[in-house]
Amino acid sequence: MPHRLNPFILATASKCIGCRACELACAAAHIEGGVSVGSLQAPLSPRLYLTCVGEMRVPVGCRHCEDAPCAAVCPNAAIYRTDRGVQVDESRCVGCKTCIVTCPVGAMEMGQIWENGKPVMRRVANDNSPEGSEMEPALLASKCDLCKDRAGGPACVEACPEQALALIYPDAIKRRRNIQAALALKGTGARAGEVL
Amino acid sequence: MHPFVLSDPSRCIGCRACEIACVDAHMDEDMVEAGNKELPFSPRISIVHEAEVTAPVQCRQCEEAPCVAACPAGAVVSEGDTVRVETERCCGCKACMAACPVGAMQVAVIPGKIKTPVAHKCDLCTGREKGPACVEVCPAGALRVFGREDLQRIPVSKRRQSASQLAGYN
Amino acid sequence: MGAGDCVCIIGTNTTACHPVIGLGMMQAKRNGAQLIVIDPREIDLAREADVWLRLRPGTDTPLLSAIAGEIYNAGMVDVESVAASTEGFKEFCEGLAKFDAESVAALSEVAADDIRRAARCIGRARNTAFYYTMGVTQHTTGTNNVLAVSNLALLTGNIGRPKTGVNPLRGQNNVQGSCDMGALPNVLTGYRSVTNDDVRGSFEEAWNVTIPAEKGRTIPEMLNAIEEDKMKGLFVFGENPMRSDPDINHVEHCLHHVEFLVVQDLFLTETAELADVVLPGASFAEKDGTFTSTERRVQRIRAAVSPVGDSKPDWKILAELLERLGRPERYADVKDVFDEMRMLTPTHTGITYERLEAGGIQWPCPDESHAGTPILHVGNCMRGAGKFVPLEHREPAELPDAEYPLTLTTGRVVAHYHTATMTRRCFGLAGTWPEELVEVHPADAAEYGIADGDLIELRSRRGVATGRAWVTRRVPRGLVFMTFHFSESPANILTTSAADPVTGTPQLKVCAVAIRKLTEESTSVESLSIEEHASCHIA
Repeated sequence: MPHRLNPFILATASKCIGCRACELACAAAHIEGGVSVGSLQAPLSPRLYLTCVGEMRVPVGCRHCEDAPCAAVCPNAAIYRTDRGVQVDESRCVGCKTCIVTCPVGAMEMGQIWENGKPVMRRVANDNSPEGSEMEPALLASKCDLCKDRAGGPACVEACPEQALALIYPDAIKRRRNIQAALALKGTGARAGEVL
Repeated sequence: MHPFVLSDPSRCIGCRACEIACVDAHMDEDMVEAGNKELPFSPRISIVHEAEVTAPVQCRQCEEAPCVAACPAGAVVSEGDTVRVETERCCGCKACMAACPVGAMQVAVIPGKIKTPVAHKCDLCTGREKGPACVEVCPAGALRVFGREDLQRIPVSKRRQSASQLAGYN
Repeated sequence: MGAGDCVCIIGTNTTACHPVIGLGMMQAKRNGAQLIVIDPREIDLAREADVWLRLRPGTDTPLLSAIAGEIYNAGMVDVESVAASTEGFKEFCEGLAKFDAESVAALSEVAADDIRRAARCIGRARNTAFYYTMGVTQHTTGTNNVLAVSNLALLTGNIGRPKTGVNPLRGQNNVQGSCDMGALPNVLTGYRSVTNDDVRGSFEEAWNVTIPAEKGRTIPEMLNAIEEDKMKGLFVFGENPMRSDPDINHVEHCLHHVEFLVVQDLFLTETAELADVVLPGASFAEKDGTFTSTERRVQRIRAAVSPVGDSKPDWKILAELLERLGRPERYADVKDVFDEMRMLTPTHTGITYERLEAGGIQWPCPDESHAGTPILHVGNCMRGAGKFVPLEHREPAELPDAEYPLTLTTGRVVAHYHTATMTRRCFGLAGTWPEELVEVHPADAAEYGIADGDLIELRSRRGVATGRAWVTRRVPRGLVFMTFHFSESPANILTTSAADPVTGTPQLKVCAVAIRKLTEESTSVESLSIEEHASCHIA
């Protein structure tokens, strides 16, 4: 089937070792031109977040909701659904942060955004500067874009040393599990050790 | 315990009457009107039709439901006889689809006010006088509701049966 | 049927195409009957079968002959009584020698042991009923295949008794009735030849016209006659040859070429779109009359609703045409049509509308005191001695080769009927099976880089069609299956018009194709425009 529903990146908590390779890869993938050791000039702004709860650690990110609350609350139509997930048009984002409040999984953040090899800037007042103001990197809505322009697909999935992350297509998973459930009903054995 | 509907693959002929009855039972319009209005066809039962097996699969109304646990919006709740989706709260994040072990959760557009895909699944046709429409319509007798009483009776009677078989051993 | 009985189905996906009968077969199996399935696809009943013979498409005659040979050689035939009630028995048995299990196994790709198991099932069963449909007939060897079934039934004495017989499951509602009424090129009602002067004479007397004494044309012959300018006009009733006939490109050429085309249908089908005149027919629910079921049961139907718009029941359209052609006196209502027919048709004379009030009657029913005939050939075959016909194997008209390496076979799915002009207009049926799903074996899919759900292109010597791939083991390696339900995925662009020499039935079950994956524009989720989006409410 053509994938009717947006894919998204899902982590398996039991496999995650908390190494943060996904966060690093994500941040690097979203700086135009990429980064190498020693060339990093900006704070890293990953778009998925290693989260620890007690002993458990697991990265959390955008689910690319079908009725995305972030898109619904955006006052400037900067967030919209496409056939490649829910995307943010940074040029329309004014940094109102309502999306952060509304996202049910905490996938939205304000982060530095890169455009044409440079961070997108904003003007802030500064009495010490001759013009009375100066430019600094703007913080705008930033969330997983499924690495839409990256040839190799999502950088986090590629970077994970434990294969704890996967780009999943919900329709395909559903179909596979339907088949396995039917086979199990027939007594042919349940699914075990499924790879997402 | 929640009752649930289970299929018998040895009887199913894959005729899809259950799927159509399910859609019909969850719509206000009749089928002719639904066609005229081009409403979405959103069954809550999935037909598996493969070389190895033919059978419908639907929600088991799990007691410790993974879909309930996975939902970030609190839209899937265990309540009364079923595990229920509060459609208005669903934002279509699909975590429930990723969580359900039998693939019973559907995320798609359903007839009604909401025009984006939302989670929906078997609700045992709660409120329908004759019970689940799929069970009623199946011409092959391949679908059955396992109710509370069945779930209490079945293990007891099976234990009796096994005990009497064990009686043969010395 | 139950313990001791055997159901043998050949080229019929019964649970999908005749679900009510399919359910009966499942019940028979649960009652203890043996089930033999002869089909290249792993259809639902194949799973339930005691013996499933997955034959290479087009090898029905040798396979059935080999089963007959094994039964004969194992001494499971009542030689004396079969010889006494049949003709051609000796020649037939001698002819079986060339269909030994081993060589037929090599030819049909069915294991010799499985052929023997099927033979044992049939040979030992008290009763065996044979069921077949288009999987047997839609071959260039269709007539031979049917004769092979008939030979096997005669050999094993499975005829003229309950739970036995050669049972073709008719493919369409009332196709039995249409054929009974002479909607065939060579017969008048009751399968009586147009070349018979007495039969023709009775119609000529009743109608006061002269009827041509030579037989008419089959559909392929009609199309050829149009091409050769020997036929100028064509009247199509409730049929959609632009989707249901083989080699659609050729059909389209012929329908463009014919001078005058009339199409009578419920909807503006692909064929009706080419017509000079379209006559709106009425649906089953809008007309009175009779339908004849697959078991020859004439049943009364009554209009549940009035015809929509300008549409009219078929008989009325024909009666009005007759009126304009100068014969206004013919029929006032459906009963007049029926009464004329029964007086001219000895097999139906005893069936009256009054009697049908009490339920359907199975023909032959020669007079009004006759109860009808549930089983044919009781005691003896209707023609006298049962006739064995020695057969030869002939390969299908088109086999896979380097350029077109796969075999395409076509059929139906449970949700749709024929070219789906009606069923795709039903919300539920269209919803449950919205598009073509081309069955492709996983190994073939892997070879051509095709994943489940990919859009694929199928190409044959005659045309190109597209459809969505369903990667499944329902088909064996080398075979692809598609339906002819979906106008946008027309399987019959691909199929060959090569036909059975006797019946003119085309070989829709075998043609050679090549497949490849198509790259698809991703249109899965519509992008909301910014304007549309800006109006979204705060959740």
